[in-house]
Amino acid sequence: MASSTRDIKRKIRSVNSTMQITKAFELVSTAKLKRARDRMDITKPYFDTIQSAVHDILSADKSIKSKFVSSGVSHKPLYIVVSSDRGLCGGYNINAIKKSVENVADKENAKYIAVGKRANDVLKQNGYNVVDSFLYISEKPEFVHAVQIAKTATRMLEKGEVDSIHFVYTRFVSSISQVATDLILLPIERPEVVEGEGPSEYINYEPSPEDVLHYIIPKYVESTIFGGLIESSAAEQAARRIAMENASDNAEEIIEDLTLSFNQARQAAITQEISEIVGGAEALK
Amino acid sequence: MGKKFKLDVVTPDRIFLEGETDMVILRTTEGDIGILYDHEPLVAPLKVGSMRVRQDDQTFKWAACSAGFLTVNEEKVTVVVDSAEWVDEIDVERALEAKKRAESRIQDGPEKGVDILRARLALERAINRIRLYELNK
Repeated sequence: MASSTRDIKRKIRSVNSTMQITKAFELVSTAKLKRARDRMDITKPYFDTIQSAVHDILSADKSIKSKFVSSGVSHKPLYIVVSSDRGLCGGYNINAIKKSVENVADKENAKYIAVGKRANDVLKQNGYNVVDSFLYISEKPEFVHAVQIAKTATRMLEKGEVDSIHFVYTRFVSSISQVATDLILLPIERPEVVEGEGPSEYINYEPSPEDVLHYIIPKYVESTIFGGLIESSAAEQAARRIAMENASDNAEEIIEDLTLSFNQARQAAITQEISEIVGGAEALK
Repeated sequence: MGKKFKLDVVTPDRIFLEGETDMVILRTTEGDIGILYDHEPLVAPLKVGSMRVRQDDQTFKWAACSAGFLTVNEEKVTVVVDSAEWVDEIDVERALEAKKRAESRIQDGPEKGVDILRARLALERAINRIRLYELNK
């Protein structure tokens, strides 16, 4: 009997120390999440401005011809997958990775650029063609990282090694919901213009619409990747916070159960001892 | 003082400026352009150069910008650049260092794996900052 109470006690202690770790992680991610969200708020205007500028140019002028504008089905896609370097963040990584492989019919033709250790490891293990990887940047992405990724990707597109660039990142919907998203960076889909609602004003492009577009598209790619990296890093922290919160809750529940059975075992031991003593005293009479 | 319009300047790491002015002068790839109230809608790429924003007291406030583009529409003027700083924010020591670094990189040449284009751009940015600093000292 004594050994059983000791076992339970040991278990409680072990769960307790795990809980301390998960609680600490939770607090750390809460703090990091706040910082990441602040950063996201700062970079959002830049991201939105470029997005709407590209959209406006494409919808304003239908005659624009560019190798960057959509022209059919893609057979050799390039996927840029954003994941974290560390685990313990629930489904965050696996959702992004799944999203990046779900539309790939043929492993041979798809190429991957992995951001973060997790995507790099998982994709390589499963035999996907990872052409480049950017590790240890996903927690604190800087603009230069986005520029590097964008350069690598557009160079491959220009050489014809790939014919489309997909960007898979995790959208930060709210602090309890993050959604893995597959965005086609290039070629850009021409926005559908609703009849009679098109932009009526005439916009002047210096020197010409094509030149402006060629200049803006690399910027568009860079800024979209940067925005995605920033958003993903916020989503990662949010995912980790939730995962750790759940872990702490579960640990608490286990401790509660264990404490109950510990008390029961202790009570049983006491009762047994008393009945033994009473039995012994009875026998002496 | 002319009529005022809204001017936004955004960079990846901050909203550099969100205000009103009656005149702004920017350097596009085609040359300097000045924008006044009710300018025609325009989109143009910007070169590494300066931005001048007219203040209420008719003086110009100078800023160093790197490459980007500007859009003018009916509501406002939006300038999107990779980086921007007011002249009094320029860290001239850093710019001088960057200039030296870029120059030595260009001299090393492509044999040493130097991205010449990138070094040239860095040099251009550094020189631009130094020039503006000297100009407004």
